[in-house]
Amino acid sequence: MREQTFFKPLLASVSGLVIWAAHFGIIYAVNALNCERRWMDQTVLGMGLVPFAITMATIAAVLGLAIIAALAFLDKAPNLPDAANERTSVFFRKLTITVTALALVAVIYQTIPVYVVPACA
Amino acid sequence: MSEKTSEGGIADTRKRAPTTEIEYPNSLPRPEGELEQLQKVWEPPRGLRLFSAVNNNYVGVYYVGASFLFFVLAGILALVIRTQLAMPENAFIGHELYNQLFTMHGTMMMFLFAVPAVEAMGVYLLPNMLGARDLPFPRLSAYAFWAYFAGGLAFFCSIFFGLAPNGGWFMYPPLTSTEYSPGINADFWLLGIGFIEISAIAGAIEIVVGIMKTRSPGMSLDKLPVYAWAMLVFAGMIIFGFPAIILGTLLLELERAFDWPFFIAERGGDPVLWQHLFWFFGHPEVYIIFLPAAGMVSMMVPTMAQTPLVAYRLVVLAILATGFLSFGLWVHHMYTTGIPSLSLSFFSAASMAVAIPSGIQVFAWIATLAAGKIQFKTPALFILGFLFIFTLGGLTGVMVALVPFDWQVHDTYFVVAHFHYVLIGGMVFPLFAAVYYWIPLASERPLSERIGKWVFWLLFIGVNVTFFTMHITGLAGMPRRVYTYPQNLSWGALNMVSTVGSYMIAAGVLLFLIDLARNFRPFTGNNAGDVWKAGTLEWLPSGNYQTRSIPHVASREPLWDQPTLAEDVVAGRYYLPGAPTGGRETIITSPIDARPQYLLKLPGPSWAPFLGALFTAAFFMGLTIKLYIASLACGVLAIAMILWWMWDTNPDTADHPVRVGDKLELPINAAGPASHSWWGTVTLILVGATLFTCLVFSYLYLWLVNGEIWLPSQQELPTLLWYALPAGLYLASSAAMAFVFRHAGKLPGSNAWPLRLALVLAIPLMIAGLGASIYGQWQTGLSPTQSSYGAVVYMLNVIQGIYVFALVLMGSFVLMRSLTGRLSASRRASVDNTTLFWHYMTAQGLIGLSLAHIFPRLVGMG
Amino acid sequence: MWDWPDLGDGIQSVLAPAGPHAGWVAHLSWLIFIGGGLILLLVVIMTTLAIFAPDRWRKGIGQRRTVIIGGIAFPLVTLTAMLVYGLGGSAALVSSPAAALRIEVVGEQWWWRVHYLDETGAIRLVTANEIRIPAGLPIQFDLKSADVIHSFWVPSLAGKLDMIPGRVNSYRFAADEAGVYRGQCAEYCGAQHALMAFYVVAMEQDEFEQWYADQVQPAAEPDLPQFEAGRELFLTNGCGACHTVRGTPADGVIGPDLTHVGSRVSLAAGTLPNNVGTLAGWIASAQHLKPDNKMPSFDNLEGTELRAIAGYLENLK
Repeated sequence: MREQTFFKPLLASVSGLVIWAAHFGIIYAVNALNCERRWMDQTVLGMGLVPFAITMATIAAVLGLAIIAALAFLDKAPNLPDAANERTSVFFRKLTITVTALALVAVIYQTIPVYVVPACA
Repeated sequence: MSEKTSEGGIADTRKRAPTTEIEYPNSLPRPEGELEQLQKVWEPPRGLRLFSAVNNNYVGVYYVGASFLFFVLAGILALVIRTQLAMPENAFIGHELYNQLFTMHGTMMMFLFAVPAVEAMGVYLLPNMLGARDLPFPRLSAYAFWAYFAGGLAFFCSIFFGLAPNGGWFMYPPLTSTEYSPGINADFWLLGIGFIEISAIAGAIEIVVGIMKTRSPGMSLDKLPVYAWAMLVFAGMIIFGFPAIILGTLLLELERAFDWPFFIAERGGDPVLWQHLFWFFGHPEVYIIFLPAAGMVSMMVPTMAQTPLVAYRLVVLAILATGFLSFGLWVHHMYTTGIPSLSLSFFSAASMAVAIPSGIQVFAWIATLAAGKIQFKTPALFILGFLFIFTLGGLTGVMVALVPFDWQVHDTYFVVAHFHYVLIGGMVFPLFAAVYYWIPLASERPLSERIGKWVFWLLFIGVNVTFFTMHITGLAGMPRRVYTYPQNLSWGALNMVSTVGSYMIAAGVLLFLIDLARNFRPFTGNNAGDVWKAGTLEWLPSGNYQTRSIPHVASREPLWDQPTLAEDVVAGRYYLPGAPTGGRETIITSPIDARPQYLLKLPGPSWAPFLGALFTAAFFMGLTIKLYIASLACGVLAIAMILWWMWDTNPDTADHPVRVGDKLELPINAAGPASHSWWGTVTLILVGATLFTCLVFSYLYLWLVNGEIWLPSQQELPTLLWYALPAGLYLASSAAMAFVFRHAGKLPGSNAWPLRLALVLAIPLMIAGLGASIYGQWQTGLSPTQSSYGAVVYMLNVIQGIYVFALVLMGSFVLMRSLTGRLSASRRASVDNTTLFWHYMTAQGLIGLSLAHIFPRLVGMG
Repeated sequence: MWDWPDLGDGIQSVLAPAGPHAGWVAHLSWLIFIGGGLILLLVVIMTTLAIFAPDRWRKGIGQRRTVIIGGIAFPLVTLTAMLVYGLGGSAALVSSPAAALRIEVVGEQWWWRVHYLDETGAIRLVTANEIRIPAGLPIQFDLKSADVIHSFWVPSLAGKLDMIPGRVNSYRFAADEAGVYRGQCAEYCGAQHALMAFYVVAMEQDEFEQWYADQVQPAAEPDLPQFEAGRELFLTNGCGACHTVRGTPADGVIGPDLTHVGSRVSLAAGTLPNNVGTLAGWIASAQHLKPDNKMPSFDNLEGTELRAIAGYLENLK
């Protein structure tokens, strides 16, 4: 009984939210470090290092989300043998895509403040 | 079973789908005596032995009842509070009692009512809904219940001795430190709550494994009832959320008892660290309470409208998303602590994002109501009331998520109004709906529709009168947690209105109690049954064994889609129509697509969980009131009780596979990832790892705010020998355990002594590793009381030590099983689980050591 | 005897703003109350239609697209708008203009120690439980705590900010016009959290300067014999162990500085109005009026002695 293979659809369907969580943790840590230690008070390409770092994190997160959604769209979830399982598999693929879409909204929401609010005031 | 009509009945207005041919797993007629045997092995205990019941039908009802008792008690405290505030400069009660009352009201409502109540409903409903005979670890849920009940009662009684905690339900240090709260009141909170949380975690592990592993065959996750999805996420959130507060209470208790300055600013600690730990638990907590309630609503709305839920998949998405996003909100409660505004904005953004899943659910319910035709039974009224109150609370929630607005209303009556709307709307109303809706399962008679409507209107009007007013009181400038207020600020009339409303709520609850007294008749062996013509499995005719046979599920509402289901289930045409092993048992299925994997033998009534829980509660209470010897004795007894019940788990699988269907034979055990106990262990490790991660966060946080004491010039670091030595010992210990794991596969064929020898080696190696890790710090003269650095470094070892203690018990348990011949290739759950935990401990030890030795060197160079 | 002077309505109300900071938030508040009210109305109407509308309508509502429009698209638009608007507000409020005056406020169980600072951050004036500021100028508040966490809040002027041991939290705000505003501790801080208030008195700039010049002076010499006697009693009863009255031997720092106590609106951190009667009552029964505070009840003093001390203090304008 190879139980691990069955983790895949469940984990795939929440992986978008895991990316959101990672993105959230990273940008929070970056800004906390910056404000306590002033490690990132330099500028890169005309933006502050914090906006730059957070923009980069967001681009990485969006790419990750795109890959997950694409994989689900191209049906890389396990194809289980009988018809009932086909339905389960379709359910998880669609769930994965919608979760990814919501995670995308959340990631973008997280990013907006960087361009509006001063970092450490 | 004949159709029962009753006061609570509902008309069936559904459109019917054509039925398809079913292939039954079992043929008729069933053998003589099969049903009688099933009834006999599931015979519930009677009389005094009711305390030894472990079956979810019993423990679940006790659990719901106890949580409701605490709801009423905490509600009475609220009435006293409201009476005091009815008029300005009122002298009804003094500040001393008042401050204990609001602390107890909040603490009890959150920890003794809300979380236990939703967990209790899960314990009761889930096996019914999933088609299992019981939860996978019945004694664990009995233990969790009794620990909670005994501990909760002792905690509540502290108020009669003036010893109740008085630091507010979020217990901010330094107000709760020894300096400002020298009495044992705060210790009651820390120890009492700490251990009630442990019982919540025990319940959560049970629920995760129950949902993933004990569903009816065919109930793949896409057919999982929405309530079970909600409970799955609920349990996951407890697993990742509660460890933070357990760590927090541990740190604060160590500070109070031994002066380890985690939160004392003068010695490098930071009071805000507590707030991070508390709210990292505390904000998800709100959703931990709300999600199960929303899940219940998603079950009741379709029944009340007699049509399937619209947008099932989106609702599942909403539940999953809420589970995750709610962990990005904790600083939401700390907007006024002076955290940089960009950091605050991240939390503001997450608060906006988390509103979307709530919107999805609200509109899914509205769409479902439109797709069917609602019938105005009491549960339907409570659901509509919930929709209104919860939406209003959700909207004020979005308001307080806006940082500038929160700067004004934080810690005022506006926030009091907001969270009562969210919690009463989001949880209490659905719970009342659920009690009216599901009581026909537990009771011979449903509750009264006539009284129910009165209860609803009293509660609905009372809640709005009490709490809507508080929005205005808060905006008019009244802060929360004040025992009195001056005449000249014109808050008097507003407060009087709120007080009148609170008495209306009380009248509603009283009426509900009367209804219960008149109609609630549990444990009679009969129930009122499917009065609502619902679609899910819990409404199948059932006894203490749940259903006669376990159905094969082919859709989300099997009772609607298979009209003969109830009949066939009762006839025994489905799986496991009897008790083939002669004991209690249930089918374990695979986690995603619910294929039968093996038959799990379940325990019957036992005194071990009850006694173990009492001793556990006594252990913690003994610590609180400083009776250390008695407390220690109770601790030992508690562990003995747990070992007692662990002893007869993992029975011998040398037995032949058992027939559960004409063509289906199942083994009665499984090893590795298919085993329910493996899942339990993995979940437990997740809890432990989360707690440790919170400690790592605390270490890094303290470094961030008071980094000076990390520099090697300030503090002599041990040489790297003290890094390598414990690391080597941990690794050697794990290697020995790996040998044990491999060798267990060769038993009983080969000699068991090499295995025992390796075990006897692995245990002291692990202890020696911990000892070396502590000594390495100690020999540099580092003291845990001098600075927060010392405190947190030793804390890494304290947590490691607590886990190692459990590990040693587990190792000794494996040794005992080997010595008594209870260990073999086919009977190896204890080895599998112990090895898994062992390797985890080695990994955690290595991370802890790296943090203590490598990190200071890294930042010291910077 | 303990009647408060009429300070006007709404001296502690979020909805009666008297400064730019509170004004912006009040504006935001009305916006979100109206918006929130409309959304609540929408949900109620949708629910009503879902239940009572003709079948044709209900069929239209009872579909997945209702969830997508009402539960996803609509919140997405409104929430995004709110987020951006709210963030803009945060940004504006934290980047207000440079301060004209720096005041350090230290929260203590259960009163407020107030320090006026100069440009270098040195303390120039010590007072308690009342903050006088010039109207129309942004003032910087540096907030500290001497014991537990408190929270500094003047609803009519600005939002709150916590006072946390080991930290200094700062923000700036202004009062538009002269007036009296009430503030109160907003973070639960122990037994008498309810009785930890203070007053902010905004004055015209020239009046403020006059007041400041008066306040930095030591206490005036008593001009009447009974005040003279009051001072004597004040000193012989040990009041100076905890309180400072500049210009006298009393130099305690445990309790509030009383050098100009007679000029303040309230007593005991907003617990009582300030007059001879309440002063005497407070001295005699501080533990009864505000239990557990650090001031003992001097119930051993005779009525005449109390009146003398109270008269002396009341005269310290």
